[in-house]
Amino acid sequence: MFDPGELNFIGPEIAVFVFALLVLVHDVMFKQRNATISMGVSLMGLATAAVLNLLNMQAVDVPREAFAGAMAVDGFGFFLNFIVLLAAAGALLISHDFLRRIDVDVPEFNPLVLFVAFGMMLMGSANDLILLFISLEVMSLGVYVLCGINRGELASAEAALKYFVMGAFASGFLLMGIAFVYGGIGSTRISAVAQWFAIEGNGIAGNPLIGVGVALLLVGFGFKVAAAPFHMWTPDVYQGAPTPVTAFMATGVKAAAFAALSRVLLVALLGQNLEFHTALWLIAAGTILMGNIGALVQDDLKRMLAYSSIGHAGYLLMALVGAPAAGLADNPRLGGILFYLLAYTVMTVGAFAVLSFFTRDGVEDTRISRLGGLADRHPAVALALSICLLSLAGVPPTMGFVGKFYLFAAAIEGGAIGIAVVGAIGGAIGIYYYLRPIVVMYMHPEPADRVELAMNPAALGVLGVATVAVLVFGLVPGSLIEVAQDSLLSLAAWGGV
Amino acid sequence: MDQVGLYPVLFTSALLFGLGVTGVLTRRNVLIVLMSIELMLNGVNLAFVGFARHLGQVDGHAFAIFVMAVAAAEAAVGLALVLLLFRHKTSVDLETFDLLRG
Repeated sequence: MFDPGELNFIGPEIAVFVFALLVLVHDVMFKQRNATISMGVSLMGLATAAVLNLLNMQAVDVPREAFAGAMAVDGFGFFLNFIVLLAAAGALLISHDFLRRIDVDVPEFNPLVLFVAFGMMLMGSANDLILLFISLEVMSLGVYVLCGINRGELASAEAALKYFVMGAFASGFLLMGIAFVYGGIGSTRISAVAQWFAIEGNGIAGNPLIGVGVALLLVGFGFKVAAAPFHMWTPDVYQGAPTPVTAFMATGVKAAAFAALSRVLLVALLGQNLEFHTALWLIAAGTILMGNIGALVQDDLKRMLAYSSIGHAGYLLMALVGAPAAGLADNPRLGGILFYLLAYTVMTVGAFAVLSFFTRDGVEDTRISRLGGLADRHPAVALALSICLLSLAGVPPTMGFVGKFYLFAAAIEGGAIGIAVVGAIGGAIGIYYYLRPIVVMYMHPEPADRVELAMNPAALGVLGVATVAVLVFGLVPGSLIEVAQDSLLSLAAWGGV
Repeated sequence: MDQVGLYPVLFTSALLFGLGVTGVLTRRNVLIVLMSIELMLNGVNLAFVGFARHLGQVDGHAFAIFVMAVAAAEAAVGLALVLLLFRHKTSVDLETFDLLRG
């Protein structure tokens, strides 16, 4: 039955959870809470989790199940854990000075980030649709609150409510999909769904229950990863939420939701089912175009990055369209999905670190015109932001370029040439709107009513590390790409594709 | 015990879910929208329980309990957010929350 040794596999999750409780107790117990101690303990929790995760990664060679099959212990989950921990650390460091400036002094911010990270990490390794749903809710409920953490600001509260209504609505669809799949197959294990589909003659055709279930599942996931046509909430929510929270949503939430979607699609649904490829093709094309075209006309950098994040979800879906029917090993370039999630996390956190400097009297002001003259005043910051934006645009030699290269290669190798062409069009549009802020920084004069940038060591550190990582892994991506490919191939152990 | 077949249960479940979806999409009052979301989740619960009986498993019944717990947590967060916005706007009409527009 239950083997206590299996608790090792959720060691990173337990560490994050326990440290979250510690921070919570510390913050509530002392009237004059020490924000630095709270931050330090939170970061220690993330570091502990990272170490435990690394140990697990080395200890587990062959993917295996844990907790009676509810959890998959494989490289895919381990890789995602690292991405989540990085995103959480970035968000925490950016928030440290930012929250003080916008006058939000709440003890629950750091613990909430850790609880959300806990949910995200579980989501990446869930082999059971119910565990997937519970961890998704643990994540989402925390993020709803984080969005509205700036209670005095109407935009923050409005973003939180919009996100909540959309998120809860989507959860309903996801759950109904799970119920139908359960009804049709008799199990909620993702690997059991894969086995069911692997049986000759089993498919969507002739099984309306499963067809409806899978369609509802895709709708639910579509909302969560902000895929077209369910992306409408993203720009409003990303713009209204405080910048560190937006950074966390754009990176961690997106990575976790996309990892869960990839696991469900790659293990259970793609492969034999050609119907899914068509549906996925349409969703991917719509997402790429809506995101990139929407970003063209934005005057607010935060809102532009929100639209661009929709576009990036599209590129990732594009790679999934190229998933082979014969087996994952046929198309190892799919590992680019994990690499790109990591790259996207690093470069986006860097860009948002710069955005967090733009506050005026406790209110955020992230219009692109505010960037004017930045290159003269703070050449290093302007250069770092330029590198992050160029990486988002996919210009070599950056991490974003390498990641995008592998995504396109995965799609083309999988025979999905059409969607790769759509992706290339999206990428071309992307270069235009990512260059706009850079042009403003280097060519435009300072705005007349300029305010000092609220630079602080923690966020500058995040920016520095992100920029260096973007360049280093852009120039020598070799070993990281290999790890990402091995991690993705570990999914093959669960059958399906 | 009276035996109810799977299809009447599924029909009721789909009806509840559909009513919930319609409510979320058409109503302007946030509180009604919240109630509609709960209605959707209850439709899901009914489907889980119906399938579990049909399959002769206990799993589905347990899932329904999980869903209830999540729904309760969701309602708590949702009502807190509504309260927060009500303090800003003195209104629970979704149309009045139009600061962020795409």
